[in-house]
Amino acid sequence: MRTQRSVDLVSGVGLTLLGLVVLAAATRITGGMGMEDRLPPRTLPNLVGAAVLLGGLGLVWQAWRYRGPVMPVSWPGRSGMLRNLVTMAALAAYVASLELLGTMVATILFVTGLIWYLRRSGFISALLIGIVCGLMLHFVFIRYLELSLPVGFLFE
Amino acid sequence: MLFSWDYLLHGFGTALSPLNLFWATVGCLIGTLVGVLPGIGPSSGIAILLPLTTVLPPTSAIIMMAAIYYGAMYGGSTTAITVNIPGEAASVPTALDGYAMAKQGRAGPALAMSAISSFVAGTLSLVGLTFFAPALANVALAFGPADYFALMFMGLSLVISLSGKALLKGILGATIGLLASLIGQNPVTGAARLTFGSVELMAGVNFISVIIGLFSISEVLLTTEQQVGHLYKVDITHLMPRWGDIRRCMGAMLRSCGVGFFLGLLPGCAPSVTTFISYDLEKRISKNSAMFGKGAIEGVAAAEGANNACTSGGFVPLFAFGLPVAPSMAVLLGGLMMYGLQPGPMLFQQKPEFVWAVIASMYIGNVILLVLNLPLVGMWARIAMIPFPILGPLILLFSVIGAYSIRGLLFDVWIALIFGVIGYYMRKTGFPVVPMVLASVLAQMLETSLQTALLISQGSWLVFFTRPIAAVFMTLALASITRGLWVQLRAHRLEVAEEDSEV
Repeated sequence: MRTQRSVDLVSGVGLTLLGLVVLAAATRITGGMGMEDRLPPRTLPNLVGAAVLLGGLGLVWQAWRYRGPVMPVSWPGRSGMLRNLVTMAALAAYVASLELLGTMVATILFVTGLIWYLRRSGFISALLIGIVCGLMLHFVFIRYLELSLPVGFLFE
Repeated sequence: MLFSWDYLLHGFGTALSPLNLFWATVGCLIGTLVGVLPGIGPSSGIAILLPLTTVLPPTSAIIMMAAIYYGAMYGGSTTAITVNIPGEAASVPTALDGYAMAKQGRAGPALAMSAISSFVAGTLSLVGLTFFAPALANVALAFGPADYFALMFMGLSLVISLSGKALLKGILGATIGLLASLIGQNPVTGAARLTFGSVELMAGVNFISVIIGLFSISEVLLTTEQQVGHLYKVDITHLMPRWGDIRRCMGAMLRSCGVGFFLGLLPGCAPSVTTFISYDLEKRISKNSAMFGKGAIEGVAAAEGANNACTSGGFVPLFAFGLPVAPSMAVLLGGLMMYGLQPGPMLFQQKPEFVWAVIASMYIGNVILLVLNLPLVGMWARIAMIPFPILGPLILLFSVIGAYSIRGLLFDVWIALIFGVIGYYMRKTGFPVVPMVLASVLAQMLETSLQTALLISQGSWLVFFTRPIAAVFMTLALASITRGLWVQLRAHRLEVAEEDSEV
């Protein structure tokens, strides 16, 4: 996956498989309210599935026959990859804990933790930013603007 | 319905109400902030905030969203001039001369000229919007469902121009966007599609989640991996340009207004392209062309004027036909649909108070931006100094809150996260993301108009070629697709999309 050609081959194969899955799933779609003679409910999923399948094959074919200069893909280095993984893991943990901990607590933990990790210094300032964000979301967005964000066990 | 002074004056009355004025100002401030901050563009900004505006009445919400869009166009120039980092792709030509002026100690006049040119060209192009949009909407009143499907199909064929050098990947992105929108219940028959037995998937994939993921989350990931830290400082002293500078720039402002507005009407012609065309035109005809790139103030005026005029131009097809010609317009269209408003001729007929209030608010917004930008320019430049390790988590935070607020479902947030990773992969591997966004926004209208047209024609697909208006749109769309495919097949190269503009 270091060159554009290999990336295109892998992407093409993945999309071809996706197209096959969509076509298979489309066969399980059942009829609606007697509109089958106009636009059967399977038609659009079949069309889009076929387009993904053909496009994926086209990408594979295009990459397979490419014989030009090697084009590298700018994947991040080890540290960049680690930062992205930690960022996504923190984000996933934030989303997963949102309903249990509530917006305020989860936000304080997420913002403080991620800023501290990405800056590698200044825990107190990260904590202050986290607390301000958590309080703002709770009192401005949930209490004042009445948005339906989870409040968690503390306020239920 | 053609233009009417009564409607416009009534629109001004609504737009000048304290509530709408307040939200227009908030939108201008947020928009300028979005434009100033690298790593977040107008599309992401609007997408994140859109669900949060559900507490507002539709008119105030759309006034604010529109203000964010044109505010971002103003704000993008600040960092371009002061630190040579364009907040938006459209501000790249501004950086060429603006930053050169800053290095000569003339950052103040460059910033002021940018604001003045944005105001002049933005306001003049709004006059065009005021007269053009209702006239075109009047024409569109004759459209039936078949014509609408053909128009939407032509809109989808914009994928060709939005894909740039990566046509096949652009088409694949668009099909994935369509695929995502097919998940859930059929809008007409109610049949479950591609849900794999999941209850959550029955509700469908919301396109706002898709947009938040593709634009905001992927952008943060792309920047996080680079360990971007601080920008650097520049001193802003004398703000106002000399009278001679203004006189030299008058022609550039007017020309850039014409170029920006008319290119803004064209599908797929983003402000980033328009600013380059306007800058190049000015360089060719200027007596001072040798100075372009070295600190010519006309270069700043031409780029910024075109940028703002293009923004207004893009509202014409959006309001008249419901056709988004740029990514931000697609997100705005999503916002209108979220409020149950269907842009197009019927919007002028059924909701004139809404549409004219939004148009009037844009005139007011231009004044607000001029007033805000000139005295506060130093503050905006300082805000751009926020380190990314702080900004990134805040963008992610508001992405999550925005996605959750759409329907109060965690499912929508997970979808945003998944599309964030997909967007990151796409942008790393040369897939353009804008076609996917366009397809996911247009899909619902496309499908509904297709079903209705086939119902009326009793299942005959010929209806798209026998009605004159539909036939014209279908022919244009098919010609555009055929040409794009032909060029692609002859190219014999690997496809790598250029960095998406106006994200």
